[in-house]
Amino acid sequence: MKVFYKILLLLIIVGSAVAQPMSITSLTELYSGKDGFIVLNLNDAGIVLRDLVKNKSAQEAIKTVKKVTLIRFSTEELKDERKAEAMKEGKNFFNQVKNFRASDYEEILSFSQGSNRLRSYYKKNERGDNEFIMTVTAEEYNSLIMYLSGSFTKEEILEIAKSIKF
Amino acid sequence: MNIDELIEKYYNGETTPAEEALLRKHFAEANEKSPEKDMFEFFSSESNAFGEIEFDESELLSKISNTKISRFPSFWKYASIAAILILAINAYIFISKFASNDNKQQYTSGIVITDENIAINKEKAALELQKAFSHLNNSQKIVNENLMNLKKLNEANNYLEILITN
Repeated sequence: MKVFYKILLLLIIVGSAVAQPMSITSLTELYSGKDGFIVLNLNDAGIVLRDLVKNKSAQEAIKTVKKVTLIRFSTEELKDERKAEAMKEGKNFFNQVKNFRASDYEEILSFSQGSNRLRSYYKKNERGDNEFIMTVTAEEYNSLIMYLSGSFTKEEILEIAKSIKF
Repeated sequence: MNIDELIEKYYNGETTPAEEALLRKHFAEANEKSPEKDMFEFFSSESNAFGEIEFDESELLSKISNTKISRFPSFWKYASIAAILILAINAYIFISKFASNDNKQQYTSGIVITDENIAINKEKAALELQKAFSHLNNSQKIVNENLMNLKKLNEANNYLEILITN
């Protein structure tokens, strides 16, 4: 009987580990180089971000962002013959992003309108850095997940978003 | 054969060169005026005129050999060069544009941008971050608008309650 409980406990542990939403690192590894996926993985996000913001306060906020990881799926720039194949992986990614929950993070902004959904999370990690995660899902399996880390505050992230040149 | 018979033969086109020479000599020496005399004198003078033209054959040959033979007049030559250049430039632009489109297609298919290749992919990375932050910015705007509307609704509700209680 003890053996049965041990096996049951083991199954519960393994099952719960599998049921956990995939980490951004594992998503990066899974979709890097696949058709329709754009993966951005930078340890110095400032190189790119500093050219995108308009005002001085946002320029200062940019300096607080260190690492950026972004995975986006879209078939809009794919050749027609590659779309169907890419869509299979795209659907998987879409579902993973849609179901992604950063449980130990504070949900700072969530928005839903039609098929468009956005969720954003923020937390201070054990190393003292702040982390920001954003997930977006939209029509035709368009989806993205973005992770930022650095010394920024929630307000600074929103300030950067507001100041990006379009 | 007397001179009248020779003249008749001449007019019929039946005289030999020797007979024509005899006629020329006769009329050259003749004293009395006649149409035939005038005619032969005219022929003789014209023949002498040609005979007086002298030219240096070697000089003429050297002139011919030194003359540049141009296949095209210079305008057409330059026009054709210009046309070829324009065609070549257009062909280059077309091919490079086509090639860049093709690269773009491959570029967006499974691209991974990291610190190592950011120098060549900076523009693409900027575009990706721009898109991601635009989602956040738009959501933030809509959420703020909704909050403002909610605030106004609450204020209106409070005002209405005050009116009712009074």
